[in-house]
Amino acid sequence: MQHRRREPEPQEREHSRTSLELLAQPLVRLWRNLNRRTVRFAGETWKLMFPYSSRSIRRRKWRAAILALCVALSIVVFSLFEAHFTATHARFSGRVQPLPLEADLVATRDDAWSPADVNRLNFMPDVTALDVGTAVEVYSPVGFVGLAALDRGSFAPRDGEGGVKPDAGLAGDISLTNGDLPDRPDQILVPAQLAAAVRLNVGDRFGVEYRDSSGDLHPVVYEICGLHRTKDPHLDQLLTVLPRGSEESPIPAFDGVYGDYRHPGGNLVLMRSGVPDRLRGDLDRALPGADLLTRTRGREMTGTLLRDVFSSGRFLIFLALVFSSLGVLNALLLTFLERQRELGIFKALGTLNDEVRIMLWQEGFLTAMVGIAAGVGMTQVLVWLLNAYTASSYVLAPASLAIAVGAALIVFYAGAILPGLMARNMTVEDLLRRRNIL
Amino acid sequence: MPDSEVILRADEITKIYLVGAGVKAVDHLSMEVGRGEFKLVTGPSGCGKSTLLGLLGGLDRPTYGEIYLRDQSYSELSENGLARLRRTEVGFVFQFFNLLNDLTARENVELPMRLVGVQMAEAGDRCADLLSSVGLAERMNHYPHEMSGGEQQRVAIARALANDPAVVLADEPTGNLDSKNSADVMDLFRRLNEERDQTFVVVSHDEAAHDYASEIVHMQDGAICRVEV
Repeated sequence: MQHRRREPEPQEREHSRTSLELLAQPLVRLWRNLNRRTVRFAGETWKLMFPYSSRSIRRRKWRAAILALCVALSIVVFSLFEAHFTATHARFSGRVQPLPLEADLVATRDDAWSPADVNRLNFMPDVTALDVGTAVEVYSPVGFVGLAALDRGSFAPRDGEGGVKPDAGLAGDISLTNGDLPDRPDQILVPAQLAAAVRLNVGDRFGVEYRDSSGDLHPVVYEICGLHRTKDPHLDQLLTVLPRGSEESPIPAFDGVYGDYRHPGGNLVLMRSGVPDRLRGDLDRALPGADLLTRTRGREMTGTLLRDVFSSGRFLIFLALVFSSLGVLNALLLTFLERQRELGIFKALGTLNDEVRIMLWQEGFLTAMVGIAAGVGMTQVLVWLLNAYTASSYVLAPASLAIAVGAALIVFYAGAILPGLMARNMTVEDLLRRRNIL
Repeated sequence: MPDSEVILRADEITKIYLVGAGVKAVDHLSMEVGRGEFKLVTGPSGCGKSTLLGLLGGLDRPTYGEIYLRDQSYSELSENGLARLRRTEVGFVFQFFNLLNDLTARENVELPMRLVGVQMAEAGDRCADLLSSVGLAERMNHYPHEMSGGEQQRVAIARALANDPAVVLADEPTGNLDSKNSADVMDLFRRLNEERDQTFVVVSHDEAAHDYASEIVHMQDGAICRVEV
């Protein structure tokens, strides 16, 4: 008897076909839709109008280029702002330099240095100078210039025969009043007035906190080898001369009197718990009129300042976003106005209202994407250049870029809503009656 | 004409534009268009010819009355539904051609097919056939501004036929052409009407167009005043 393969029942065939189709159907549908330049969404089939959008962009390439440039610049500014504050915030959140918030007491000299000044200086993310026990200059711009000049060998000038050449300083003429210029890496030249204020003299040793390039602090001990005086009494308070190469030779141990004093910011004096009264008195004498603040108060001040800066920065960004949106709105509105008749033709031929809206948005979107790509690239290059050739250390976090891109998309979307809706809502007859305005 | 042959029907349609006291552009007008018919709508300027054509093509909706295309009532269709109907069932030819300047002749003709989702290869073949049939096979890759008015209008006609519509509606198709090109375009309509059994409703106040139509509808003040067969 011949065996015949049983034909599947119609229901089985249906079942078998359906199972296979279930697996392949999405891919087949996707391929078919791509081939037809359509996409299924919300139960509707939408025509992708990219070929027509790109033609329109090419025809208005200069306007598109300016729009893309605006988006790109927005991203650059936004990213750098974010990058800057990422670095700053990192310092204050303890990732880099938590010292100011670890102190029990914070002292400031309110006559010359306000807390805002201090924090402004602390906002310089790249200050790599020293935290010297009484050498408040290292965080001031003037002190920084002085140290930089010293690194180049020009700040403590010598005459042609190897002697000290007085009255020829870079940031202010200085004169050596006592001792000698530093010879060893652990020697330091300090202002005479400062030394007197803290009752130190030539030959005394004191501890400092040295911040390395990664921002970590290391205890270092220096011996005062000489005292100097500048013609400018303000500079006299500020300048401390270090020998070349001193940054490379931290001395690990110190048990001196002033080891408990730290100056992580120009005029900040931080005292740990249990500071002896005698040292407290020394501090008062060294920095007369100083405000003594508790750690909590210091934390509040820092937090308030940070919030203010962030708020004002974000307000500026918000304004920039609003103006950028208006720019995008203007560009897309102009595109819409000069293309009303063309859009009318599209509608007359059967393009859905929403497809016309999407077509306009696509054009803005494509332009924005070009701007976003350019902006991200420009930001990367700019950050690299800034970090390589300036004292900056921007931290370009992926989150910053993501936020910038998101902001650019919001700008585009906000600017595109109105033209898109106008294009969507006008009737075919209305659109066809319009003459192109340009 | 038997009912089964009627593909487009207007039933007591009225269109009032809300300008000032209201302008009645079409006034209780009824008409039927049969398959393969070449109907000419004529009348003085401002009598409502173009408005009627817009209503028949679903570009606008009547204030009152009903329009049916193959028994599909326009009033039952949403805006998207009406747009889809225009894609497939109606071809438009305008006085000022209304070609898209950024697209070549071929791309202009392909556009309606692409909107329907015809695959690219098939659209290309059909487009070549259509442009050949209107005598523009050599001008496929030319942009509108590189063509004469008559050629542009022939591209527009090819575009109107792209999706093999039930009816082609032409609004003053020769209004912007010289007499020779006008005759060429009307000849083309006539030929397509005969060869493809394509239905045409042409609005024109050109006397010369009367020779081509199978039925002439005269309008006055938004209503049909006379019909010549």
